[in-house]
Amino acid sequence: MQQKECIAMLLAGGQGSRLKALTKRIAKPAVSFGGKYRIIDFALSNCINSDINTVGILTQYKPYLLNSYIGNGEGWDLDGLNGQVSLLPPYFTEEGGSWYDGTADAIFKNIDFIDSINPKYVLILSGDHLYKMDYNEMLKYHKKVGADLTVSVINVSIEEASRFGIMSVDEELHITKFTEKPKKPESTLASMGIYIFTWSVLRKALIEDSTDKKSEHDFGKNIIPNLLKEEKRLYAYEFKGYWKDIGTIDSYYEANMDLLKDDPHIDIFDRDMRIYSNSNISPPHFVGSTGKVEKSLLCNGCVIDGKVTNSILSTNVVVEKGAEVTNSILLPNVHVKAGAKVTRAIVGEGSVINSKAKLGSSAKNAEIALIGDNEVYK
Amino acid sequence: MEKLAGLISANYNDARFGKLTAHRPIAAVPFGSRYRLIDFPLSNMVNSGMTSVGLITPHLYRSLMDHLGSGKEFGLSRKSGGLYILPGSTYGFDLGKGKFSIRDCKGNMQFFERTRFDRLVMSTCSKIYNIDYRDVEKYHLDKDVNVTFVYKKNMDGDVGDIVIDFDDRGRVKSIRRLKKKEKKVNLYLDSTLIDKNVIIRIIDWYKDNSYMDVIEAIAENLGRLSVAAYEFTGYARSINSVKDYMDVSRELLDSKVMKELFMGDRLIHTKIHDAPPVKYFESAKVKNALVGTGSIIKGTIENSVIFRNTCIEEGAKIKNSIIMQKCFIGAKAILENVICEKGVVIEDGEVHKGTSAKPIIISRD
Repeated sequence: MQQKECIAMLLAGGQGSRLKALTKRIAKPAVSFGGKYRIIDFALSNCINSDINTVGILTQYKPYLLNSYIGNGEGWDLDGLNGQVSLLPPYFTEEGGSWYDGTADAIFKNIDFIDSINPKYVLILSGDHLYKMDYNEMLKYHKKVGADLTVSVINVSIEEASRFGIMSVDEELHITKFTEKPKKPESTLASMGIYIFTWSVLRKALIEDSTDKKSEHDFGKNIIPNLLKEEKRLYAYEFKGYWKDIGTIDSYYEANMDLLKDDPHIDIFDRDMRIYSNSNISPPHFVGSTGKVEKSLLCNGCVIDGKVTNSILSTNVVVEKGAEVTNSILLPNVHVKAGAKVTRAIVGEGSVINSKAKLGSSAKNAEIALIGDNEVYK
Repeated sequence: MEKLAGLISANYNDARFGKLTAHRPIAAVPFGSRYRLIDFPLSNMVNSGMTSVGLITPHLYRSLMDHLGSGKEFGLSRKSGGLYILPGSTYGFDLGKGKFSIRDCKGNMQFFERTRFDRLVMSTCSKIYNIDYRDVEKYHLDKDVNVTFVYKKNMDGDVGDIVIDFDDRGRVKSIRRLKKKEKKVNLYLDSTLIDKNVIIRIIDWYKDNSYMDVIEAIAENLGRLSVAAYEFTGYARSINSVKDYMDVSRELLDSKVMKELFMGDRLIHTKIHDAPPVKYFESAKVKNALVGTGSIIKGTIENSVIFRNTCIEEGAKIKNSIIMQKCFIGAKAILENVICEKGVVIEDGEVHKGTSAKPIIISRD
């Protein structure tokens, strides 16, 4: 077999507790987004669009739906002759079993997997970020500057900077300092949690870190500072596009609603950097004689007899006659019954809004109404 | 275990489809926003648990192969069984009548000999309905017959369709072509369930008259075979012409029809494009419409079927029309009773109006 130059390891085990009811049943990367997608589609599509066809996906929190969604990776063309998707949950060994304890620990526990492929470089990704990026450009850069580690960074405002891992760099973008969530940021270059490591360097660092009892086994807190101390070649790669960490209900709502703009940050219609997904079979959507649709995204299988305005309706959503859905995000299989009003709300998969029920409010500063999966709202 | 396999004939044509079949077989005619006609018989077969399906190809089969690929989307890309592509004959085929020639079966005897099955469902691609062939098989076994036809009562047919007559005791008396102006008949739905040894015998009997249709061969031998007819009671339609195509497409806009055909337990499978959701802009107005994914809608749509990846610009008005895949409808264009073939570009302000009896077909060439 040909040697793989670069593989991706995708961290998808996080709970995403700040997404509240949306992640009660499913891992954050598997949360529905933009109608037909799930959040992880963006990272997986970036991989295949960057010719990276071997992806290890580290799962831990409620993995069932995520696992079944990813399957063998064929939805993203990741099932080719040389490619594969491997789902990598924590496992038992002769020394006992343990969960993934930190981002670096998750990769450390899968050294065998990476060794079996023996790539030159390893790309570390998060399954819960929204962006379109050609990782190949970053890899080219990593090779050109001869880095041991390249960190993808984005310029943020000084106010936001204390939420991120912040990099100080010299003129050649050589990283001189890395601080996780600094109170007084020295720079505005924030880490996007996307790393390219030269595998031999990462391998050694992971093994050393695993024996350090004080370590939190985290890339930002431990691995990167250690490599800096060892004076390894760490470089920043500045990403100029749109990037969003879907951390909270508000940011989830905003990122979704952005797609409704005439000129959204992420162009899902762009054929060059396509976003793939694992589509299920459903008929085309149907707008009936009493239906009205304005400024919205609609997926297959929807049946609309009510009014839908400025909303995103995922697969197989039903909006009955007299119902009104405004400024809302309805996840797959939601049923809005006759006369119900849904305003500025996020409704989880399979939930039912009963006839004449009123959910959410259009009042300014009103909190986004949130209904979890498979609930009935009366 | 007893096995049911499927065999679909796509090797026939009909001039009444006009431009719609200029570059594609009837089986590959796009239908219902995201399907092609072959999706219906093929989905019926796989939804009835069949894992081996043969497809007799027509002469122009590029679009058909592009659509079906390895049969993956129908669960037919398998180690055991799967989708068998059976080349149909190209010369001397009587285009007027038959849809399922003995010759095409004869030329693909390996399918009958090598595929593991006990009974076979033979179907064409000209009828739209959603059926569970396991019910037909149960009926076939209960009646203890060799051949079971699927039919629907009180249906209007067209030239070329086949009618089943029963005697006083409800047994199949004759199978014949529909007479002109005949209405409300027991219309044969182009599906036959037949025992393996019987179909192999019939092919052998008629190998020298191989231009004949399998159904005609069975009809000639009603006395020698035990034959029954299974009544299908759901929604079923024939598509034999542009007019039928337009009428049945419009019927899909009846939500009862839509739900029965597409939203029950047995889904109609098709090639997945994985296009983005449909984006409606503020200026969009849509009423009574089916819309395929990947479309961008800024104009007005009424009583129409819109296929995938179309773009309808602001001020455009589309009424009683069918707009196929990848069409671009310019601003303020007006289309009424029109079928826009795949990839057609309608310039800003263009106006095309047909009538519901005679829709205009606009194609790229």
